[in-house]
Amino acid sequence: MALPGALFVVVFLLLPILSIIVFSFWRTESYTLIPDWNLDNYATLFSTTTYMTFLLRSFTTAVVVSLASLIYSWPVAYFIAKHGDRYRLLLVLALAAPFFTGIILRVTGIQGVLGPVGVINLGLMNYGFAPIEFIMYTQTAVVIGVTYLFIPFMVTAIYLSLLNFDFELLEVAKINGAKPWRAFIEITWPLNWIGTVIGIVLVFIPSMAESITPRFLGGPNAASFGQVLGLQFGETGTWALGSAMGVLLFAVSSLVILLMWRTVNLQRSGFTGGGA
Amino acid sequence: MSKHVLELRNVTKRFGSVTAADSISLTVDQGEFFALLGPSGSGKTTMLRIIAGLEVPDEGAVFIDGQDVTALPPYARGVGMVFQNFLLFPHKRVGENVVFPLRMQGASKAQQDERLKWALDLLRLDGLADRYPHQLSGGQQQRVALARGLISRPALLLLDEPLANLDRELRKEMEVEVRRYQVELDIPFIYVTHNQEEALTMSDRIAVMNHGRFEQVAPKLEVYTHPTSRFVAGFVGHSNVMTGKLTSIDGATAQLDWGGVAVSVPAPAGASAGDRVDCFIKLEKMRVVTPGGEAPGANRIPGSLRDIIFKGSTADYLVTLDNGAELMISEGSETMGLARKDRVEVVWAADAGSCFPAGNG
Repeated sequence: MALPGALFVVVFLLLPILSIIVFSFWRTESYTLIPDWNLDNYATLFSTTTYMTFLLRSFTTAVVVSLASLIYSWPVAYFIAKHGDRYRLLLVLALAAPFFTGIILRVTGIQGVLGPVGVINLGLMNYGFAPIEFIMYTQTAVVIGVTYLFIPFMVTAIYLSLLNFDFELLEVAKINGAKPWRAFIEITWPLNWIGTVIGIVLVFIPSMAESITPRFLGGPNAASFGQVLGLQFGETGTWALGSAMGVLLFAVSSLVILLMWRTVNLQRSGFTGGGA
Repeated sequence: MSKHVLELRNVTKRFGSVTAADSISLTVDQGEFFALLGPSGSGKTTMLRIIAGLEVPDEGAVFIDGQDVTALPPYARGVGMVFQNFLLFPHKRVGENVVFPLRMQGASKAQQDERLKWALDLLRLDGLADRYPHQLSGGQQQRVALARGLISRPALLLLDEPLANLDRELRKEMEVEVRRYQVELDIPFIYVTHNQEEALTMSDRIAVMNHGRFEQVAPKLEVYTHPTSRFVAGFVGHSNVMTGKLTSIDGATAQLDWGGVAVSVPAPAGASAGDRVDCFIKLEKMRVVTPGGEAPGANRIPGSLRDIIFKGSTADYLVTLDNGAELMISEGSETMGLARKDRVEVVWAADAGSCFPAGNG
């Protein structure tokens, strides 16, 4: 019975990753992959400062985006779960509404807010103020844009976690002498940590690989690893190097997932399955 | 003026059009086991939540140890509370759950350890401190909840149907236990329940609640034997209800025309002949005898035995009277060698039970 599922995983997940790994040890010549086993691609990646800069920049962006989403999403998810009542579903669907338009339109939309002829700066200039420069084609603009793109994942993950959270436990904590913020730290946060971790991972991974937003919102100094990775499969046609970059990206993302998962102690998250 | 541990003054709470607490006043004193008894929706849990500070009353004031706490949040009131569904913190070990109130108060580690040992001993939870709640049985979880409620020596302990989720055997056992803790600690327990047996077993005083009001507040025996309202008479204990018209009143005794049978009943206060009344007579206040058999009582009505429901130490006798009405009588199960369809007489005293103006129901 597990066969269809296993087949799906093999064909659509394992095979592509495997082929990428294989290609990363080959070499490209005139847009053709040549099975000539070597480590040159990795050597190039690790010895070229620009590649490492791109990687570090994407990593930092992903960290900042994850943190920003976390800080934004908790109050929003909490509010919907606690006070959304019969509008809950509607509010959650509203979060997903921007997805209806597709990523290009969403990014263009945010460009229309942050850019030189965007709502913010046009408004400022209209009233005689100087435009805010650091949101025009900068790394900051990229962070804002990427955060905007992936926040719904984080809100949804935390919201779903809070749906299963017994808010009565907070009353118990308060009767037992815990002030509201203390009750949050002692009860709400640890009991929703798994959901939060899932949210962080869901935001971190695509943020790390993001290539479209930097292209639209970032200036010449904001190119991301994902953007450069894309180039290898397009303009430059260096598939082998691109594959190596993909493997590196995959490795970093896996490492982050692993590190995040290590912070989860099932018992300490109120997980009651699985016995002692 | 003696200081009451808890005092409620004209506390009123409304939820939309429902009045959950209707100008309730109450005092509870040191060492008292006080039961709030009522059907679900009667407002008893709301009362408890107001005392705890989880609900703010629309009107009135709450005093704990003489201090007005009406405006204080729950964490500043120093009361303990135990819930029906235990509500242990699932991610904390038993020891951490129990010691939680002390930690919130900022007690020293030594103090925490000492009190934890005391609480685990008191509730016989030794050896379970390192378990997680889901690894415990229902009874153990409830004892942990009690330990958490008691560890900081609260001014009073509030209990919201704490035994309702336990099976019958365990509940019986815990009733005795809970009473023991209360006597040992000598702090007031306010115990909400819809189960009259629990209220009667454990408490000193009972308040019977209905529609956000106290129907009667009195020592439990008083509530059981002398209900002051129709609702209390029907809710506490098991009674036969006889509805009819009063034909005459002679001092404390009245004559009731109960479906053509003349019955002597206690006269309800302020009633006059011709009033329709409901008379409640507890099952154990009646006797079943063979025709002409010995038994004291002014009322003696013939009928035939329809069934005997054996309950162990007692049995319920179902008697169909000659006018078609049915009475249930609780007797010792070995009293007589009666069998189904035997002719019998039901006998009871004129002053047994109590009568109230007839309800609409």
